[in-house]
Amino acid sequence: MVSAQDSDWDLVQRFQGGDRSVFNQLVPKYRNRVMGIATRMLGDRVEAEDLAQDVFVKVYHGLQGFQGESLFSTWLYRITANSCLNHRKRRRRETQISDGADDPELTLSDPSSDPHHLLEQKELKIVLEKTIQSLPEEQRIVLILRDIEGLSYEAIAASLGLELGTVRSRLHRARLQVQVSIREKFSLDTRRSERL
Amino acid sequence: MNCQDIRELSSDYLDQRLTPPETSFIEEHLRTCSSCRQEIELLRTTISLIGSLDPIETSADFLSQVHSKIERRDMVSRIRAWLFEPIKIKVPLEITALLLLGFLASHLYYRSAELPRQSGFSAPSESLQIAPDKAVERGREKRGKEVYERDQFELKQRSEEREPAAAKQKSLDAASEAKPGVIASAPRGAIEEVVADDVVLYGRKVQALLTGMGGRVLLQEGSADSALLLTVELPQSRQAEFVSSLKEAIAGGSKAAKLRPGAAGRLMEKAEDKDNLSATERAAEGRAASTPEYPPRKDEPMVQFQVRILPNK
Repeated sequence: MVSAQDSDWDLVQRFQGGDRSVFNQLVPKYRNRVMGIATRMLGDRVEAEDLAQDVFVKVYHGLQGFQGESLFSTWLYRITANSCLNHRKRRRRETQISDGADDPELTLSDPSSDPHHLLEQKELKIVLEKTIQSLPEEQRIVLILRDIEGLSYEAIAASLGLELGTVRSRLHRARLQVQVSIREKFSLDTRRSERL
Repeated sequence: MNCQDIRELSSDYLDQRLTPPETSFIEEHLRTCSSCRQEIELLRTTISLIGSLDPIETSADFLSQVHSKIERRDMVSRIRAWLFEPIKIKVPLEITALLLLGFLASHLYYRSAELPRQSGFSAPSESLQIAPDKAVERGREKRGKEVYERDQFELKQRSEEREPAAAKQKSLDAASEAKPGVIASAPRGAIEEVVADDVVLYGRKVQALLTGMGGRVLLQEGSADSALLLTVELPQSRQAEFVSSLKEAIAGGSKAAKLRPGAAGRLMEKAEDKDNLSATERAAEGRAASTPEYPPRKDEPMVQFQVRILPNK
């Protein structure tokens, strides 16, 4: 059975052999992931799509020199993360995240409701997205790669050029901050969470 | 290990990244500590909620947009390569070319400012009445006008240079038409006209005569009526003697020149004899003839005029 990584490496080798059409298979496979990371890092969908396109342009021009020293996905996430971080450095302005003063207090209408059901509510999704975007970017990228994209600690460390310990600490701090935010917004106390 | 330590390891515990002894220790603690248990459960829920967020999709034309960007970037790369690569050759060349252009432009700019003064061009009198600071401003405004006027001035000068030459040629033509077959004693720079039985032979004689007097033929032209037009240059002091020799040759024919004593006669004779020399002798003679028999004085002014040799019909 051929794994996704083997499949990626096969496509890369075909590309390097001159078959440029395989690029059209790599883009659909990863474009939504790149788009998700970019959107949550930049906080602007239009800018994120532009950046995601630029990421694939870089991939196209860099693929010939890709030696397979890491997984293609790791290499792609590294390009994406660096592009996002550089973009934010250039822009030099954090996305204005409301600290809650402008938002109505969201409370659980039914204390017995399952939060997974509440997730379907638009408000909860908005709060979660905003909370993620309010994180420091070095924590945010780790949280996105781990809890949304599902990368392993090792893959995150390789993509971002970090030590494993750094990844663990950043991830834990990011999660705790989201947890605090969720608790504040929805008055989730520990008793409720117990029922969840 | 207290509760704070347990909570610090909660993420690793939930991601199953702890060693078996650490995992056992935490699970033992959670069985007895409800507060830590609640915190870990809340963290588990939070992670679950984050992972449940909707994926963000690109627009439908994402791939085509990527290809458009790739093409644009390729074009930019090609242009950049065309302009700058190989960088060690093209960049120094381009810098040199730019410097030369800059130098040329500045040279032309300053020359255009000086030209009206050199050529005696005077600005309109109103410019003299303008205060100096205003004159500078007006000068900038009028620079374009001055360039135009300078060009007009140069055109006028060129046309004036051409007109005397055309008028001179016209007058010479008129003179030759008025008195065919007669020597026209024209002023300096005009035309001397002679008639000869053998135009080519006579032309050689004239050439030899000129060489002997320190002159030379500048231009030799044939015409449709078999005439020969020679543009010659001669020391000013020899002009009269040369013209006189031409007249004598006409008056007595080519052989008559031999009978005539004097420098011109000897020269004409020498020219005739030269026609009878062999090739070797002619080469040696050519070297000797290159030295004028009567070398001109230094700094003596030269006169130019034309000799037209007409066939005797």
